[in-house]
Amino acid sequence: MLLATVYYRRVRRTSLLSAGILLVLGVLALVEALRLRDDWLGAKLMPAVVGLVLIVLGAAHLVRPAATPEWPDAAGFRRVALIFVVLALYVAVLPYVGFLPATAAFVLVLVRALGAFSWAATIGVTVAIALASHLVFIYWLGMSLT
Amino acid sequence: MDTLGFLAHGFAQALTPQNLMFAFIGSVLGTLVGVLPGIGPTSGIAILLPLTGFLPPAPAIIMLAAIYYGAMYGGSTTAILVNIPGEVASVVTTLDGYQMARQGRAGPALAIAAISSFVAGTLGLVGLTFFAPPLADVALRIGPPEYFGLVVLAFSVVVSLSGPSLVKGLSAAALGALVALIGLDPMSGVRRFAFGTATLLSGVDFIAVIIGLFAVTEVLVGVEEAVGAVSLAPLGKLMPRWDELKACVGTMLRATGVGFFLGLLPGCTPGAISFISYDIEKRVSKTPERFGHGAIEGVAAPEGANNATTSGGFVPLFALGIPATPALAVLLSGLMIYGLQPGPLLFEKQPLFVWTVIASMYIGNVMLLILNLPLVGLWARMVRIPYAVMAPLILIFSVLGAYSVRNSFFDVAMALVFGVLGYLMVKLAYPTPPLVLALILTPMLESALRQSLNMAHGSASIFVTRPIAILFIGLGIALTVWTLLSRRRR
Amino acid sequence: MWRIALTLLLSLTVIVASALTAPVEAQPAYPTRPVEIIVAYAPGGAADVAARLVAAYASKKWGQPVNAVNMPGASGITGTLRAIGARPDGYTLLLDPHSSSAMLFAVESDVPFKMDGKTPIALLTLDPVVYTVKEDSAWKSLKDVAAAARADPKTFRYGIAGVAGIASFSVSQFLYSSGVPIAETNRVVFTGGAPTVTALAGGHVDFAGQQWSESAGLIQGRKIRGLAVVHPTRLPGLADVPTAKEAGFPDLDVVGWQGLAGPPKLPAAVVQKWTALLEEAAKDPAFLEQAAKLNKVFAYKGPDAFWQFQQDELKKYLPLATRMGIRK
Repeated sequence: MLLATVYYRRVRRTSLLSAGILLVLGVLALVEALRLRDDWLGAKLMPAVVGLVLIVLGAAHLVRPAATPEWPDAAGFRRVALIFVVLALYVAVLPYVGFLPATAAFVLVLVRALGAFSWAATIGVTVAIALASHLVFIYWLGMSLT
Repeated sequence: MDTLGFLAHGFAQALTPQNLMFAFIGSVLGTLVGVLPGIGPTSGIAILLPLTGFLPPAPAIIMLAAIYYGAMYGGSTTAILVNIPGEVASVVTTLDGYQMARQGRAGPALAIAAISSFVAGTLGLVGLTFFAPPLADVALRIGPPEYFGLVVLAFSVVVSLSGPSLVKGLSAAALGALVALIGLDPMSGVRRFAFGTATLLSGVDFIAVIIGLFAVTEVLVGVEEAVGAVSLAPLGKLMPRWDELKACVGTMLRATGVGFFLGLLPGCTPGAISFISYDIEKRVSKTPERFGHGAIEGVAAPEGANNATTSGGFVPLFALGIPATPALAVLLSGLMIYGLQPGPLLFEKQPLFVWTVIASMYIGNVMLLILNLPLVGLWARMVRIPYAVMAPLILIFSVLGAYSVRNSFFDVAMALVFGVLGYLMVKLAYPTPPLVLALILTPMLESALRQSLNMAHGSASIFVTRPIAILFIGLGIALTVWTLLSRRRR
Repeated sequence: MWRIALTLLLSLTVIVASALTAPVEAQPAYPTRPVEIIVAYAPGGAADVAARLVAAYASKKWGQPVNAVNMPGASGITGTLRAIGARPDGYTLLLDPHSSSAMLFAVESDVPFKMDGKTPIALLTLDPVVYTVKEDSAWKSLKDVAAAARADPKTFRYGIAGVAGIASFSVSQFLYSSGVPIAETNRVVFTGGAPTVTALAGGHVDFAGQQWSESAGLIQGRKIRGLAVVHPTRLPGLADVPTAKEAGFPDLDVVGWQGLAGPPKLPAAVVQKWTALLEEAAKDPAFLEQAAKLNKVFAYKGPDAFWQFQQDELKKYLPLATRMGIRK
């Protein structure tokens, strides 16, 4: 019957995906709730409740009409992906190479990718931002990132 | 009246040039620290506490109190300008504050934040001054069943903030609830959703999540849409319009009331309180559809509520020695090192000390207003900085902010994960406030529920045998039903 | 796209260059730069207060900042792991309280570090348990509480902070030794010491057994009353609260404590520097007075004595935990 509903309403792929995610998470929560060794009024309570709610909501996604998501165009998507990858790389290398070098590199790539400055301005901005953040966070506030 | 006499003494002490200077320095430091995301009042005070070690007691405490208020204020600045809440309580400010900034109205947003904070904070201090001991006793009567009622009430806000699709709003909330459950259960110590790793054992930190959902997501969206800057709209006037200010008077008063009284209750987090205050404004407004798109009351309410909460939080702190939030706990230990012995005897045994501190809090509020209003122009211009420069700055702030909460890179990774999640949520039109609210409320809900049931040997009858609890639960249900009905009508 | 590749190449050069020119550290006398004491708990709590007390003293005496850094999470495991995994150069230390040590190992069989996986430096402070009831409670002594609990366990509600926290031991030990059928009582678990005593003051629970530093404020404010302290002598500021022995329960011996430790293989020179400082503190009346103001008993024990103390504590709590069924 669920399949019939899905077919009949021509549920959008994104709704299916969201429903799927919610259902999986809900089942996961219930499984965890059952696994825990505690009273039902103790640590098991909330995971079970939330699990049930997630499952119900996941099912709800399948039976209501969904709106069209606005996906970005190819160029926009490339930009987002690039920036995110660079960000992830920055975070990954930060503990190993130190704040100043990693940040300098990060800012350099970003300013270059996002802005239309001359090389001189780009380098200037990079140095300024990297030094300023180093001064404030590392030197003044004494954050230690290793 | 004795109280006024002592207060006058307190002012005399607090208004010495030396103490004024320390109040000023404290306000500046606090604001700076609060502006940095992830470093909220708690870590701010913890970091700056050693600085005050070299001072004699009175100036040290004055500085500490100023730092606290300053940090609360600083968090709002970044919330408005770049959608990064400086700390939990500023999350709600982003909803309308950031929208105002994008419309070129960063100035009025910042200004109303400062004004509302000042009004609410001062009025709250008046409440503290005159009503502390009896109010503290009231606070004690709020036990687990009443907290449960409060949380039920707060959850009705989820429905209100769900936007056009209730299912999506509730799904976001359910996700938030699930994330909140990850880690060690604070009551029984049972490991939940940790999958055998030690990192997940500490749970997902709230600040990391909101840095991801707000800051990182905004940058990803901004990059995708290739925006030139946070706002390209021409910078309007720096102050709110006169009619707007008048409209906000009611807002500020209501926010003060809500913030102060809920702030009295230990364990009621400022984040939840600011959501409730925002929701109240939305309900009483004749044009609720403006909320979420740059309604000035949407900034005035949470900002006022925050500062009133701060003042309210000092009631149990001074009168009972109970800190209502972790930040106050650090403040308390700082105060105790300087010889403050909180408790009902405080006002009897050390009146001059206490009133000097309270007087300096008044002054701190004034100082913040004086400090920040002129700076509004400077801050407001920042939204026009080219995105190529802003984006890296925001991201660096985000990384460091997420890291600084627990000195952990796991939190930074979480910020990134939630940044992507937030981006997807924006694209698929899922509202983020319900997720955040559920994240805040679920721990409170869980502990209140379990404790209540424990108190009554497992029976749920406890919820219907205590008047205040019945009141809150009833209100919560009524509000939820009302919201659902009014949605249907639309 | 090639512009971005070029930029990445440039950045790599920048990174490598900076890393190569990083200065090398020298090895002079300790401490030459700020020292961090990691507190694996939230600011303001019992552990945090002890750390700040000692850190302030050390900073003043050595002229170098000694800072307490909070890394809460997972009941103290997160911060403890970080401290143990740090370089053993004396600049990252750990505040080692009962809840990350003996009591934790008594309750959990699966801790991601070993009790001997740290270098003990010293025991710093004791935080004795105070058994408390609401100020206007009809129970005037521990014996009253015991009798009431035995008579009607189903309406007896006690609050504890965390199932594996100190109150779990202190209250359970008391109930056991009084012959109360624990399974029929109502145990209400709170997330910390402060909420527990607050709930007691509000009458939402009837009995609690938290640490001195957590209970003192409300006792002095006359919202809750102390019935007994687990300490050889009466505590300063609580002159009319009898000791457990005086109250008729000499076998109660659950005490909170905070100590200092470092990562494994900490140099002996560092340990010695600290023990010298703490021995001095133990004789410094101003320091002792400050500790008392923060409701802590400064009870210095050197590294070997501290280690022995921890083992004794474990021997004490392990059977208790098993018997109470809270051992996992």
